[in-house]
Amino acid sequence: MTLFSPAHREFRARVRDFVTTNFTPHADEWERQGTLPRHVFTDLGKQGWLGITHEPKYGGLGLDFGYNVAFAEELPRSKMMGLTLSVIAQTNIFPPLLARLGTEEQKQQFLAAAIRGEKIGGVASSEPTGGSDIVRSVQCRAEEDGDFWVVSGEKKYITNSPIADFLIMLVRTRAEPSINSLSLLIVPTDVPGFRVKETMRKLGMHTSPTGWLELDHCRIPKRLTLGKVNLGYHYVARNILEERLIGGASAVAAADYVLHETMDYLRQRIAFDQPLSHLQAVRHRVAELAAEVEASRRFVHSVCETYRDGHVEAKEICMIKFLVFETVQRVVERCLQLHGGYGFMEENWITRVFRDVRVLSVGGGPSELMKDLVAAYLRL
Amino acid sequence: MNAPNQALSRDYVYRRVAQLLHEIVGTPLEDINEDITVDEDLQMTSVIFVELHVAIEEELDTELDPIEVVELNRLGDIVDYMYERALETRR
Repeated sequence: MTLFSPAHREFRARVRDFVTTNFTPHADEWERQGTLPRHVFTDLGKQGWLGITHEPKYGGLGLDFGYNVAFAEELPRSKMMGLTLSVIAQTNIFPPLLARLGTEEQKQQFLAAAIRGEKIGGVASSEPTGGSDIVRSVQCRAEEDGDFWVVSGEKKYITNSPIADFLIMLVRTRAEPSINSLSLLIVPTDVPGFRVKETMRKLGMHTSPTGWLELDHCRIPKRLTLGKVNLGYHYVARNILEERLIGGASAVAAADYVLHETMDYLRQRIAFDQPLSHLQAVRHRVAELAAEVEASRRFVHSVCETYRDGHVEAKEICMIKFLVFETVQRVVERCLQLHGGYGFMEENWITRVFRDVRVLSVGGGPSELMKDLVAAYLRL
Repeated sequence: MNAPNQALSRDYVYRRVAQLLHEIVGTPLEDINEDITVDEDLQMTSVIFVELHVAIEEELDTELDPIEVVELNRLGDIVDYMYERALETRR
């Protein structure tokens, strides 16, 4: 079965209409202010789109992963890659952890509220000491005290954390740097001792808040332990594959959107008494970019199909994370070049996208780590 | 690489896993026994863990859930699980 049926295409059209009507007109303003209004989440929650694949008893739509892909591919139509990232964080970064590992109480309290868009969440793994070598870099520790964990430490580069109501936090519960030494805790951000140390200023993704967090003896009830103690690394390692895959689908869609907007520009822009689109050098460049986008899309969609059917192709997802994401960066950079001087102006959306996509090969596991993992899968 | 003609036995699985722990994780063969644990005795990076997991899957020609593997913790119990999974795959 292919990824998209006529029903998926009808769903996609509804999402596109919603996004372009409700979000795109605000892009310049929100980008300039560097804000992401909370109502974005409640607006999407009312549509049921923050829980597309989740069970109806938690407010989900109970649809297949193809709908999730279609949704993620339409978000860049907002012309805000930051919004796109923050919404994907709300749909595909922490909810699968809650759905897979959560107790009924945890699901009702956090998953259902997140699907409604009433509570914003996130996953906090990285620290000032690093993120890729996660087993050794996590120093934020949780110590047992009766029915509580006492958590102290820092988390850094955490998407949505400055506006989050809770965070699923990877903490050290054993001193040894073993793969079985980290655990997941659900940390409400109103717990005493928690503070956002800094809302971080970034090169791009200005409509996606990123935080540096500090925890000072935060007392977290043990009933908010997510999954089994000491298996947190493995839960996160599995979960991040979905994040990378859906991120790949969305990034390719963004590149495709940029390319089509560029083509519109090239048809209108006159130079040497003809539209730029008539120049052979330009035509060949656009053909190359279109081929790269199409190859990337088909690769991502093929992995999405197997993911929908319950098989996680981890090696291929790591390949997507560097190969496809770097392709997207190249496509956007070359589209900017095709705009000439106009491509360098802040008023042009492509300037923002150029900055925004730079994070793709850095965040969620840099390209270098992905290549290490692929080499490991290949038993090189 | 896996040896498809090798008769599958628990002892064979143990010996292959021990050899891979030695080659990939760097654990001295003399330190490997049924009672060592992931928690205490087998410290490795995430990349090394992936390489080990893939290698064992290839050797035994079966799919293994990494979370089930590490949850068992003790090598003897992990080998029991792997042997059962390998037998199931061959049925």
